[in-house]
Amino acid sequence: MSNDPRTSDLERNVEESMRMFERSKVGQAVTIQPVHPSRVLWVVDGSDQDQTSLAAAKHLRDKFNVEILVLDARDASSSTDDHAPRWAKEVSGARPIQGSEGEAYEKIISALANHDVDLLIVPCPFGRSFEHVGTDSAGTVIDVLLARSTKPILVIRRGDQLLGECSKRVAVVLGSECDMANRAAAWAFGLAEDDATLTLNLVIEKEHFENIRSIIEALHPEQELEPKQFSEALAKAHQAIHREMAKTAAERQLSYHLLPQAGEKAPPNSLAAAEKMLLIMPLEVDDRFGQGFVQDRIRRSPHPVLVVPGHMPS
Amino acid sequence: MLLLASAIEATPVEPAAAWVMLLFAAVMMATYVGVAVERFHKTVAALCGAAVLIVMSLSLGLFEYTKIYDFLKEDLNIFGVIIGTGILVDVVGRSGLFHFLSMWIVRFTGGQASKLFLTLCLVTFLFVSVLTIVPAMLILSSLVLVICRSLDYKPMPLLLSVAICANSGAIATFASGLPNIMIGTAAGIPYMQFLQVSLPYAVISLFVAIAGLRFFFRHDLPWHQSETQQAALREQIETFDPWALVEDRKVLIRSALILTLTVIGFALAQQLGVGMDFVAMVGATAALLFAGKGVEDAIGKVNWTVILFFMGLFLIIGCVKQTGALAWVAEQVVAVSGNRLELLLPLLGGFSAVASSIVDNIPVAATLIPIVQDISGDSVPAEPLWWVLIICCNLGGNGTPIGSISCVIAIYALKREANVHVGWGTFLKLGGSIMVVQVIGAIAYVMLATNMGWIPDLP
Repeated sequence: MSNDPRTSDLERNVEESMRMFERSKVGQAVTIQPVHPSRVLWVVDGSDQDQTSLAAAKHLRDKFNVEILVLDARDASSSTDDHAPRWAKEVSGARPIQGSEGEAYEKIISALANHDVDLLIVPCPFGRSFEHVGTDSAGTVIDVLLARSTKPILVIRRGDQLLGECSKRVAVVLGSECDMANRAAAWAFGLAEDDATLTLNLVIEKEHFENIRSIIEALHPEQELEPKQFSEALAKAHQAIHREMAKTAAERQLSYHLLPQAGEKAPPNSLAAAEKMLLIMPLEVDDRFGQGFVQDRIRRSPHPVLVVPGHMPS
Repeated sequence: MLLLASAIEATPVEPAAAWVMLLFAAVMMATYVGVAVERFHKTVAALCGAAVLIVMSLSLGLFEYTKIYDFLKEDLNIFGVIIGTGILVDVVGRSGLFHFLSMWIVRFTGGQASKLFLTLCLVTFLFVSVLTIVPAMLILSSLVLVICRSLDYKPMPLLLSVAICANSGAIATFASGLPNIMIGTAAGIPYMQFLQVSLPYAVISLFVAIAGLRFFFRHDLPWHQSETQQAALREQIETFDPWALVEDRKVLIRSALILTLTVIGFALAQQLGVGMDFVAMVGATAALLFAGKGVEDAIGKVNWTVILFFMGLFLIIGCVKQTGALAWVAEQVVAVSGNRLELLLPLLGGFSAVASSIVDNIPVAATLIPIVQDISGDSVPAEPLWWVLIICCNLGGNGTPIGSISCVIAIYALKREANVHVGWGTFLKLGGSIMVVQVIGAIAYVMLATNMGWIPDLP
């Protein structure tokens, strides 16, 4: 029977529909408590992206009444005067803070250590033109922050991708099992606009997918593995967070989609894409693979990316 | 013989030699056997039959090649309805509207077996009448399997109940089944007349089915459950959240609105002076415009298999009709029945039901349409014949495990997902008995409705 194309269609359709119903079994899941920022460290770098960061800071101020600390983290070689006081005047509730000596990333890390903030806004690539660097580099500052920051980092990217507009479409992107996934989802619900669409994107990179497939097929030569089977496995592996997000979205009347994307195109969109989106990515800081995954997404993203890091490396 | 329908006189077909009629009828029957036994794909069987008959017709000089365009031209509107409703149903289905509704309704049962059984039967009827059998069955059979796993019920009673009640839903409206669309289009029956004539019997046949199913499965479900059991079931079923099935609420609302407007459009088509095909295509376009995320996907979901199957069938029927064989059959029917409605209705109803339980009901309807056109005339009103054909063609599907797509889906899903095999014997006892009662009831209903003057005249 299974060789009959009509039966295969039937089988696929029934299974697809069953999976949909099974995913609706979310009742025993707990709802996610949304996280909002209350005190934000906004880092300026003297580039055009400061304007975009300003829009993000204003949005957070308007929406959550956050207190904003402004830090000019430019290297001593490129800064003659402190821009922080000027930018602080642009947002109510903002005040400049004095940076420490050293490299930009040292100033930021030091400020994070000295001030009790719960979100960091930082432009990327730091101190460079976004248009010129493109997808080639996320820069040293981002690399170091990904490795050392204990606080969530809102990475600002292309100038037209303003946080307020991007918060209408929020994608929580997971590349592997991650302890911080729930925390990232909490931030996603916290930052999402009232009419937002949230997605849980479960991603396996195409190359990674091909590698896994060739290994499994080497172990079981008779078995042909389709991307759909991987997507199904991904959905099963992340069922707990999916249930929690589905339940929370239902309670908050937000649209929510589970998108397992094994070997498929996944967020972010291409650098030139017009679509606006906020990416939220959990990160276990001592997970090198996870770090690379997040760093690569930031590098290729035109959208702002909120990285929600876990514990510090030993 | 003098009472033979005017339709025969109106059809300028010169009867061919008896051997030609027999030969063509044999090819048609061979095609139908091919469709029934599924040795080939049914579409391939129909197209092969059409190709053979066209070649034979041209060789014997029965008609010019261009005549085949006339065969198809008459049924272009059916293709419009199939394409339009296919797109609409796909887009609306993907919005999660019916998944949401079914789960939302089922939660009200608290998981109690008796309430769940009744609710599933009613929801099936409702969904099939709006969505047609296949999409409704895919949603409901998967729902039953998931719910049964969760509540630890045997899936067979509920799944077979859904399959059998689906055939009652299929007679509810013009658009709820392909035989309805074919017969309704050929006879020019307005949508509203379906609500007046076939919907009431659809409801009656549903209750017949529910009573039969409840009796047949009296030992297979825990019909009486204690307070404690009910509380545990309620807790289980409430773990399902229907909203988790909805990806985008705006798309859901737009889909529901477009579907509702399309159904209203079907009902008002005659008054608006447009065909059902136009309404279906407008509904499909609106769905693609306002509710569709994947236009290419939705268009790709149009059931080309069914369209090609129909094309093959219409060509086969057209060729056989040109030999005068169908008119001859009509003459024999008239001769046997003496043109008395009280004989014609049981004959037509019984034959169409039994034939539909063995072969797909689409070729049965396609073959009987020209015969009914030939039988009906001044002395035999066409309306009761059309209604009995519509009702019995659909309910005949309950007779055997292969009689209708709803039973095929249910039995396949049971085997595949629950490892439960439903044998022919079991099914014949259940579905066959229900079908016999429903078909006898249908014939009696149409007779009564005719005598009472409840059946409106065709426009």
